[in-house]
Amino acid sequence: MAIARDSSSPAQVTIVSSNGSTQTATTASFTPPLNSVITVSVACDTVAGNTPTFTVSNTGFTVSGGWTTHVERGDSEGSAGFVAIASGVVTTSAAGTITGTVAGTGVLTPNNRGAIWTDVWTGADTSGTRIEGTNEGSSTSNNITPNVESTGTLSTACRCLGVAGDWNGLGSPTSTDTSNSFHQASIYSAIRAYKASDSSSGTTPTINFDGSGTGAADWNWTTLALKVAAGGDVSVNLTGQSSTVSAGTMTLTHTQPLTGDTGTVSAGTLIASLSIPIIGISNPTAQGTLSVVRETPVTGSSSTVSPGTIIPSLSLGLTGEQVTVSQGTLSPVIEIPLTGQSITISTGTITATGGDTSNVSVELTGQSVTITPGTLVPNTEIALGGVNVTVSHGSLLVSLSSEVSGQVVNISQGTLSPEMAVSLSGNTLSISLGTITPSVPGAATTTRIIWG
Amino acid sequence: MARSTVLPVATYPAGTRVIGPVNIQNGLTNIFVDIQRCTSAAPTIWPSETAKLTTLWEISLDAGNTWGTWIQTEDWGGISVSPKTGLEVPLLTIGGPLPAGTQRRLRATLTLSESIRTQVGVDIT
Repeated sequence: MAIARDSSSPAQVTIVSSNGSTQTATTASFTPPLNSVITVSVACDTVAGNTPTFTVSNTGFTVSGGWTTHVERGDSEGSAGFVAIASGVVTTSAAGTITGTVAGTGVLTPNNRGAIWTDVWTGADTSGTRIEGTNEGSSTSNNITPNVESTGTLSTACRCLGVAGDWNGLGSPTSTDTSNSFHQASIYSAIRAYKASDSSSGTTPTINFDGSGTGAADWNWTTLALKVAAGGDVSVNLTGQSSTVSAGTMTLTHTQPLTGDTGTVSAGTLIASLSIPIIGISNPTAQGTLSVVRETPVTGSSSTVSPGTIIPSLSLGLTGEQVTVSQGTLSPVIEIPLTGQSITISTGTITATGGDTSNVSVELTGQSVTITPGTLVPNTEIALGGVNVTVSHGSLLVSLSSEVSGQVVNISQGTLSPEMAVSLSGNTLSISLGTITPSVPGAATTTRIIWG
Repeated sequence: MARSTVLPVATYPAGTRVIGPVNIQNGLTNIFVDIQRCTSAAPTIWPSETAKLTTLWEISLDAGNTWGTWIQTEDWGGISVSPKTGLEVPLLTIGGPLPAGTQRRLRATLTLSESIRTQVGVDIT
C-alpha cells in the first residue's frame, strides 16, 4: 500500500509575532481520516542566538500518545531561524484544529515570522517506529539538495518530506519537489517540500530547497522519512499500454481490471475468488494454483489459459483467431463452446461424474476441429461441422452418436463397443475401425453406415 | 581530521575536480565546509556572477565501497548581500551532523562553469 496525502490536509498558516518570545499559529478546522498520520512542519524566524522549542496540540480528533517532535534545528546548531517536524497518529476521526507553538524565539516585533504546514497522510505506518530516519543541516548555499536520512539508504519504502528556513529572507523559495513557501520581505523566507511519491527501499532520496535568486541564503533545514504501512488490502486498477501486478502472496478478494495492449497478472498463491476480465491484444495469465471458481472470459486475437490444476467447474467461452485450452486434469462437467478458425482441446483424462453416466458435450465448428481425449467414458455426443473434422479416441464405451459433415470426415477408433450409428456426408468419407464388439448379453450389433 | 584546507587559494579552471576520499576519524560527529565568496575586501575571489559552482558531497560507511549523497549545492559568484542584515556574505558554508560509523570516508565533486579563484576548507569535529 502506498502513502497518499489526504485531501483533508488544511492550508498553510502564517506565524504572526505579537512582540513576544512565543509564537503560535492555528490551522482551519479539518477532519483527518482514522489511522492517518499527521506531520506538522514549522519554520520560524528567531532573534540570532536563540534556539526555541516546538510543541503541537489539537482539538476535536484524537491523537494516540500525543505529538512527537522528531527533528529540529536552531541557532545553537547552525544558523538563526528555527525549523522542526512533528507527527501524530489519528485514532478517533473528528473535526478539529492544530496549533503549533514555538517558544523561546527571542522577542520578535509584530510581523509575519514564518509558517506551519500540516499534512495528513494515509497508508503510513502508525506504530511508534513510523519514522525511518531524519536529517538536518545549515548552509549559505543558494540551492541545496540534502539527503533525507543521515544514514543514507532507506531500509523500507517511505514518503520523504522536509522544511527549510532562509534567515536572509531572499524571497519565496522553490523546489523541484512538491512544495509550499512563505516569504516576508527582509524578515524570513521558508519552504516545506515533499516527494510526489514514495521512495523505495534501498534508495537514497533527497529533498530540494532552492533559494530565491542567486544570492547567498542562510538555511536551517530538516528532513524526515515516514514509513509506508506494511500489509493490508491490495486494490489495483491498471489501465494503459502496459499493466503489471506482481505479488508473492495475495489473500482475500483480488480484483484486477486490466485494459490495454498488455495485461499481465502473476501471483504465487491466490486464495478465495479471482475475477480477472482481461481485454486486449495479448492476455497471458499464469497461475500456480487456483482454488474455487475461476471465470476467465478472454477475447482478442490470441487467448491462452494455462492453469496447473482446475477443480470444480470450468466454463470457458473462447472466441477469436486461435483458441487453445490445455489442462492437466479435468474433473466433473466440462462444457466448451468453441468457435473460430482453429480450435484445439487437449485433455489427459475426461472422467464422468458419479455413476456410469456423464455427459461430454462438445460443439465444434470452424475450419479445423480436433478432439483428442485419452479416454472417453459414457455418452459422447460430438456434433462436428466444418471443412476438416477429425475424432480420434483410444477407447469408446457405450454408444457413440456422431453426425459428421463436411469436405473430409475421418473417424478412427481402436475399440467400438455396443451400438454405433454414424451418419456421414460429404465429398470424402473414411471410417477405420479395429474391432466391432457386440453389446452384452450377446445380442448382435447393428452397424449402419448411411451414405449421403 | 580537524580543520583542513582541501583546496588552497588558487584559480581553478572550468571543469570537474574531485576532493578525497578522506578518512573520517571514529567518534567525530559533525562536518563544516566553507568556500570563499567574493567581497569588497576580497574582490578577486570568485567575482563573476555567471560563474556557477556545483558541489556534490558524498559519504561512505563501508570504507569507500559504496557512496551515498550527503548534500548537493549550486551557487553563483559575485558579491552577495543579505537582505536582512545588509552585510556581505563572505563564505559559502555547508554544515551538519555526520552519520555514525567506523569506516567512514568523505569525498566531493566540484563542477565549475568558468574558472574560479577560491579556497575550500573542511572541518570535521
